[in-house]
Amino acid sequence: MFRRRNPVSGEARDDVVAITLPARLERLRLLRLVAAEVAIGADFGVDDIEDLRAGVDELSSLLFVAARPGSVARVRFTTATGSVAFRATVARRPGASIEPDEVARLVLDAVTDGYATEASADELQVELVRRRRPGAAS
Amino acid sequence: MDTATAQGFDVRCDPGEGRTVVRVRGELDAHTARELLARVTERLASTSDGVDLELSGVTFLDSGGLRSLVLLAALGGGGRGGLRLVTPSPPIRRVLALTGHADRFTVLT
Repeated sequence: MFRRRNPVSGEARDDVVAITLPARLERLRLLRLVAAEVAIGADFGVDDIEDLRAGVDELSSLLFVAARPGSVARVRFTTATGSVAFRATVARRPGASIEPDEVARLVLDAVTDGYATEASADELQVELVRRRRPGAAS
Repeated sequence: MDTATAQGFDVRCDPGEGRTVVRVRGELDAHTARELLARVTERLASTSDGVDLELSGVTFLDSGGLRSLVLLAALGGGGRGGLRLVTPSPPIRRVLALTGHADRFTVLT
């Protein structure tokens, strides 16, 4: 398993990968690569890895299009037993919307176990969770 | 033949005789879709015989990439010979099935 132990308490803890990157569509490929690496570390099977990549890509596409030009995205992957959670936040371009259209919703419904988008006056945030399918562990 | 390449993405156009063949390789997402749209729109405008998109080398497709294919198929209508998807890879077939878009294209397997 990918879980590590707290060096002080000795208790298992979730594993976190946190990165910042330019909020631009050119960086989608990098995010998919990171998502795949995190999924492999979580013992996801091939189909689960592809689903996590797809979900991260869809939500990040929405986010980057609505981000304030020149801003950065703060991204966090959290691995717990049998699941990976993804969250990303950007500064909001004034008036920008972040709701997925019907096509994106169909993809997200199929590849995630839940997702959400949230908009405040200044920030936009997306998140999803993907659980490992039974029998998919490597 | 001319080519255009972004990181992890490659479009090769082969006008030849008859239908133009455009071979696409790599990951087709909301970013690389812009390149595909520009290249294939240009081809559709310059031929009356239509365009075949050869897609066996596409390893990833998201909704942004799918929208570009839908738009190109619409542009290819109206007596211009049309756009056909040739040997779409498993990732493409999966997204077409998930979104119910398979019937919107002429697909050659």
